[in-house]
Amino acid sequence: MKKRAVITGMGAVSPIGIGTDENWHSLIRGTSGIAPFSRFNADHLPISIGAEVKNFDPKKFLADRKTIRLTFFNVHLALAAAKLAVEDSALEVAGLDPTRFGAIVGSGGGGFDDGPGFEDLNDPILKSWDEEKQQFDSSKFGELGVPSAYPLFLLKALPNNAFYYISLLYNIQGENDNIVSSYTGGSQAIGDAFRAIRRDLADIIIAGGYDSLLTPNTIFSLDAFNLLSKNNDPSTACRPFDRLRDGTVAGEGAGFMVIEELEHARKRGARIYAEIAGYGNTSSAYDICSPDPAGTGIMSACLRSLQDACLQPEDVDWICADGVATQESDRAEAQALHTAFQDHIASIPVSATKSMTGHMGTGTSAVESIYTALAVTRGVLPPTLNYTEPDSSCALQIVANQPVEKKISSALNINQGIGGQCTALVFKKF
Amino acid sequence: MNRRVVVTGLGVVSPLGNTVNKTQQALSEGTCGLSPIISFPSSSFPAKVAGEIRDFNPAMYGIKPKSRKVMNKTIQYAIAATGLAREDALLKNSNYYESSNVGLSLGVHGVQFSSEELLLASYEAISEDMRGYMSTAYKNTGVPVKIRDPERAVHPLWALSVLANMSLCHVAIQYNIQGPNIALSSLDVAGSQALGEAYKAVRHGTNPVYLAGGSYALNTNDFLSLSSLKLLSEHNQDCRPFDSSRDGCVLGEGSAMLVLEELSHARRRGAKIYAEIAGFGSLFDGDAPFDDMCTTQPDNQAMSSCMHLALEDACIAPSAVNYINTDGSGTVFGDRNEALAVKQTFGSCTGTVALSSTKPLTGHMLAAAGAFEALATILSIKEGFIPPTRNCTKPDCMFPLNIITKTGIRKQLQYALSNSFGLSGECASLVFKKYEP
Repeated sequence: MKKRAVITGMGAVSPIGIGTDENWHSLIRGTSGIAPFSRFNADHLPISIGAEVKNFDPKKFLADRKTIRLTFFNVHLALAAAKLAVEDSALEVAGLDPTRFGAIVGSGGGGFDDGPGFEDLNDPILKSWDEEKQQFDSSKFGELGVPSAYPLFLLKALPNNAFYYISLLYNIQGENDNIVSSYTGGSQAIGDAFRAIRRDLADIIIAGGYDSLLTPNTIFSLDAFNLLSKNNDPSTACRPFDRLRDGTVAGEGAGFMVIEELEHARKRGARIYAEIAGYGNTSSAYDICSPDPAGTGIMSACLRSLQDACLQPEDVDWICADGVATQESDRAEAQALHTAFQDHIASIPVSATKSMTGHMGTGTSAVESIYTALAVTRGVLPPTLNYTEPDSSCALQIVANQPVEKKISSALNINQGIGGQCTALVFKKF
Repeated sequence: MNRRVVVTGLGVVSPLGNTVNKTQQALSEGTCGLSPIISFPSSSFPAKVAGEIRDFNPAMYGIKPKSRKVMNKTIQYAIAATGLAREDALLKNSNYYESSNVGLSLGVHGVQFSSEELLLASYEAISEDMRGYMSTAYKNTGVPVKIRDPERAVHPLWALSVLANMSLCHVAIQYNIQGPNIALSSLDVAGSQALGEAYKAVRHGTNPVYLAGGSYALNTNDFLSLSSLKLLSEHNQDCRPFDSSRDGCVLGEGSAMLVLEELSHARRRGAKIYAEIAGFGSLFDGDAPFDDMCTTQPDNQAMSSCMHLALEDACIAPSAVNYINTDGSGTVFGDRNEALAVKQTFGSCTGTVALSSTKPLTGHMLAAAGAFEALATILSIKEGFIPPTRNCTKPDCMFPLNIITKTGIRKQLQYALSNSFGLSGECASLVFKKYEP
């Protein structure tokens, strides 16, 4: 007999709010988190807008100054979201069996692509530079650079840093993984946590993801990829599925869920948000830079997740789409939905919340999972902003600009990443 | 009823050679793959030796010259080992391969910057301003630069060299692998965890076939970081697991990939079976002391619990285990804790279980280490041969352990354990079993 996995706590730190309540209010009011960059000087950047997390003070969430010093901003977001999730679940961590308590975290690649990562290396690098030859000299690096490096910089740059601190904070000794990805890591973590609970490998797992795309470095790369909108008007730049879409807006954020085995949750009288009922994970194996126009990866992830949840395509009441808002990606996703849902897609409402949050990197898939679970719990579908001109190549029932009240028994959250990894998660009303 | 998981294909590129046969030969002869570093000038580095891959020809694995520009060595090694494992398992011609219904689970190192790029980019960023920074980085690494603005040039594929999951995506694309997929990163336990995840997925019916393993390429950044943490051997310039004079690990590189398959599936297609995976245990040592150097190596208690978890998962008693391919990375504390943990786990049968470490031969292959050692353990079971722990001449005798030193020994193995105990508190153990129908 398979166990059932339910969500008993959620924490989201995103450009539209800190905590699930703030996030939800912004979502249903259609408040966008996109604005001109405030954190760094963007004069030399091709793009001047982004979706920053606002009013965030890591000291509110992290008591230990040393932890703050030893981690980057994106990890602060993660630790805050995880803390909010655990508080939300009213879990008494001290009473848990640590070996049945797990943590699965989806992260980006690690510290060096964060702006602050460079700071720790400035000194060693400057000392390793051969001024005459105008090149990096590795013997100088060994002689002068290595001894002058901040000794803990490896720890700081580790991609599993957030995982480490979460486990340490809650004395988690059970199921664990740190999944690295470009963007699907959060939903992969939630999917794997769901599987682990269902297979009785753990009672409770904290799962989610985090990222920040808001460093000059990353902005440069994403722009070179043609992923970012050239429109620098914050209120209209991100327009998923709209005919005039021209790219996404870089953002940042973190989302974590407390996923618990049903009986365990019942025994402690926990509030249950929703049930996780199915997970599909595939790779499109098409191309590193561009999405498969047929959307095969997304299509088979959807079908795998529905099969896993023992549902038919017509049972799905709402889809929280990936909706990156590039021409190719949205078209491919629409194509995938048509193939997976056939005629039923005409009656399934679809929203793309990135129109409000921007693209939160690997945090996106986790935060959007939280949005999906909230929509299931509260019976309201968040809107897709800036949807003004339908695109015939993306013929979907988009929830445009205004929220819609609707009872949902099952909803699907879809995510995909650079390189072709795809996930689909089924959330059911409990 | 849980499904049984067997290993039906092996692929490896390592400092011991770029085929399973060469690796097997080097393991049985105790040939060392470590040597002074030649891929970059290392004379002033605290650690001057490493296990580097030699004679690696990307073209042999179908990697096109054009693609090499966006594929760092980690990706190339992963593609090579995956291709070899596929061929070895004859997956290439099987129906299941055609249907693309293969899963992929890969342990990777987080940061995929070549240090040259990182350093150049960083140098530019701090010495001038953002404008020149990407262009100089790429000019100096010889990667073609897409000029969009004479003042600012950005290589369009810059992001591809820094995203951590790119090894996985490139492997998936190269071999059209469309099934469930996961890239894991946990410094040096990732390879074992990737195997463990694939094992669980096959056992629970997520997918009948998985390609799983890890890949890692040497990188000057890691020499910097690990030297700073005092984890690399500086005095000995050698890896001496469990020896009283050990002073740290030596880095190595490579990739090992295994084909994991559900037993009935393997039987139906008449696959050759190397061994069975009988158990997996993994835990994070949440109690790892956060000491001054912040080296949060797991303690013996966590290591012991991890081995227990794996043994429980395999439904066997400690006494059933004949051999442990230890983590044995040659660090002072890591080896001591592992020795204590073995004693704690195996109690009165500590003396009968044979121990060895293959890291003196290959170096510590970080994200690939767990996968390589799993492969070595499987070869030990298949050949009935335990490789020696090279350089362990004066075992650090806290208590008698049956460490195989000097030369390997012939021994029929029923069950063998492969340990990976990380530098950041993560632990993983895999139990392998001789295959019996």
